[in-house]
Amino acid sequence: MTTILQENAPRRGSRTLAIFKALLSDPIGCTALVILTLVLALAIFAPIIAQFDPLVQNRRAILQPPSLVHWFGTDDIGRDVFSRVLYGTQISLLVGLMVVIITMVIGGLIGMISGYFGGWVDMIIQRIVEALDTLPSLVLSLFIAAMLGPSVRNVIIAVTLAQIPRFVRVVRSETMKIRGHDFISASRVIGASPLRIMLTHGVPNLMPTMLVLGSLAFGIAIMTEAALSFLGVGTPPPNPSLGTMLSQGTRFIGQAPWLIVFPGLMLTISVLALNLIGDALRDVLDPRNR
Amino acid sequence: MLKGLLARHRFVTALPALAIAAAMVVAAPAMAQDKHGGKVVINVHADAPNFDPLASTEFGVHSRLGLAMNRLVEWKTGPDIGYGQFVPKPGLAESWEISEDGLTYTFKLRPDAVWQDIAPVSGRPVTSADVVATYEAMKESGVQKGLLAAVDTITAPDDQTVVLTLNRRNVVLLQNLAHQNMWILPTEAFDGSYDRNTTVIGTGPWILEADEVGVATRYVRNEAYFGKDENGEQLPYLDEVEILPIKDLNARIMAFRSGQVDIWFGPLNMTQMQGLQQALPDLQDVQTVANTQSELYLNPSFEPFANLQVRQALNLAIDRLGLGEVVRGGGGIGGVVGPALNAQTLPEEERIALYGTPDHEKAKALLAEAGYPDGFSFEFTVLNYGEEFVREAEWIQQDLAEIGVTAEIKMVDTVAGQALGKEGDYQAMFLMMSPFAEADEYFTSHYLPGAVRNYTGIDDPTLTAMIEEQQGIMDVAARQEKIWEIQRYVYENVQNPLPIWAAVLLHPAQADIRGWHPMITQGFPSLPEVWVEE
Repeated sequence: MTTILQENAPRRGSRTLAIFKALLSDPIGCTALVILTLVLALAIFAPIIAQFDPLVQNRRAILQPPSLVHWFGTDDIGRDVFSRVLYGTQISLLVGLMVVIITMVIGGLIGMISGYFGGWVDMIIQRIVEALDTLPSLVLSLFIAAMLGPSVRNVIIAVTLAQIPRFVRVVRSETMKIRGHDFISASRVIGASPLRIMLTHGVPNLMPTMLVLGSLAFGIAIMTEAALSFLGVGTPPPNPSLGTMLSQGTRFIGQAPWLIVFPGLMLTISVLALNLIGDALRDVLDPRNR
Repeated sequence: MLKGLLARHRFVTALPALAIAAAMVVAAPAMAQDKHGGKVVINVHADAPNFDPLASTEFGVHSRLGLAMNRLVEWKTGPDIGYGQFVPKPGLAESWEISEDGLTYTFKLRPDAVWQDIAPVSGRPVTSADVVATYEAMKESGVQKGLLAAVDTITAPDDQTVVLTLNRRNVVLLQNLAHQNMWILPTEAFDGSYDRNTTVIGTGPWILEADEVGVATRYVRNEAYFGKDENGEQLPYLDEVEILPIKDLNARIMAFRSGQVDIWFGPLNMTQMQGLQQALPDLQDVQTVANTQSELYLNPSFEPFANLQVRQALNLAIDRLGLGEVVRGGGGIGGVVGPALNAQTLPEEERIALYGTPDHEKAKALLAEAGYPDGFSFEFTVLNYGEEFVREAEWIQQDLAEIGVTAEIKMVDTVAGQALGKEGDYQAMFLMMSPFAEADEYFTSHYLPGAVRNYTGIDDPTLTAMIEEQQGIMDVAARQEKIWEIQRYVYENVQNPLPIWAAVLLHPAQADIRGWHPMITQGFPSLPEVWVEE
């Protein structure tokens, strides 16, 4: 699966462009990319698009069904559901993005150290990772979030800690493969430090794998944030979160189904788009598919 | 809008009375029916780990013991008596006298009370020795010993008389003797003749026939029960009662919907109730006001809250009636003493005037006078008592924003929140009051220096003196006046914690159940007069 970048490999910028072009040429990848771009645009431009403050209660419009004024209706204390879905998506994407970045940096670094040095360093790191892996990631996130208390920052910490072991294991195994190549031995012979070898040879060769993992982790992070909020240990009130909206909407499922339909749809679309992009990236980056 | 809310609120609070009146009208043609016979099934969402009333305060234990046992003094029940209103009724004591100094209570026992026909007691008459043995054991090692703290000596001059002498006046002693844990046991329960963990021998309306953990607790009528109804008819009406320990809420709902359960016990929210009503349009919608309420604690160590005008401004900002209608769908406006204690809380009109009439302009003026013309921000610690409770916090947050005060919600779990309260480590805290059955319990736990719920560090000598004074007033009307005076004093001079709202409690029963009146105390005191319409 790994593509080895050597002297005659294309430069990094043109390679990223090539991946992007390949992604666009894949019908599923292209569709998913368009959907994700739309979702991102809705979240980023929420302050412009939303007609109402997501926190302000309109006590004359309790549980109003979708209408021209309130496109997605209002909740049980009169807040505009459309605005809350937009801002909730913003929080979900923020959590997802932060989790992916932090996990890629920390998980990637630990995985590279473990795979490159091997021996007792690898043994200690892998036992810790295995210990963390024995717990289902949602349970681990729930435990950490409950311990730290509900806040967006704590959700990011909880989801990140639960995702790191997966990155560490994959990056370690890829690093071990790369370590065996001749150009790594050559670098060592000419006196390159381990840090330099990892940065100049390890990171570029690991990027395709990390990208695929990252896109999948993005979707998992959004789902976990929603699950934690659903369980009451995620984003604190009154801030909108797709998970909290779903949790609160279940009380009115018969009376006001729009309270769960719209946040549920947004959550499904976002996660589906991310998973499809992950699949498409994997296909594009797999040398066997060329 | 306020007028509309008030009208709707009164309609909501009038609903139980209407429901009861309707039930009486419906029941009228059936009065000729012999009420005796039949069986009722109740769900209690916990098993009884044992049956020793001295060992546990768990509702799973005392709810079950109430069917088979009696107290010296009981809670009167009926359509005219509120859910949290204590009206003493003779239990094993037929009558009682209180000395003028309030330090001696003399109880005359019923001559017709006998123990259930279970070995080793085997149906012998109840004597004063049983009462003395029970109270002595409770005072020594029972979970109830605090209730008898004021009792100095317990004596039995003869077989039918029990005398309690007090080391200080205790105006709530009768209520303490009627407390849900104060069941009277035979002397054999304390001399090792039988094991009170597993054997239940009482004087109550039913005999505990079998208890299968996780399955059911079954009772059959006690033919020797002393109770009679107002027409002199033998009680109880029901031949059998069964308690099902269904722990899962959805399973309980399904059991009620299918008719497996006749009387609902335990938490149920409005949405779930609406679901039940859709499935069972004829069910009886019995509603009461909870014996607890939400409260907003303002810590005076946070500078703005040290100012009485700021606390008054916050009180004026909160639209409680709107909150009660929208978030809770019913209940009662909070008071210093909660609305469930309808004989001791301030009259509803007065509570609405004090706490249910928001005035944002006046609130802003008070803030400006206090030196906060542009408002201020604070951390609003909210204990997680569930979604509706958090909704109340969000409602308050917006009300405060209207007067320029920004509340940043910080969610904590209930145990952590109570610890923060005790340590005074918060700026403002929103929590649910502990359930109380007497105003004195509320005053002493909230306003006396060092008291367990005095989270705001109140140390007001005038208030302390007023609280101690009401403890010594034996005249009921005079004490009620003093209790109201204390509440008005707290409103004028303390304003902390701010009472918010007491939620509605739902106690649905199947359409053919008659005479069901839920009460705050455990043990289903109205059950002996419950009957099943044909």
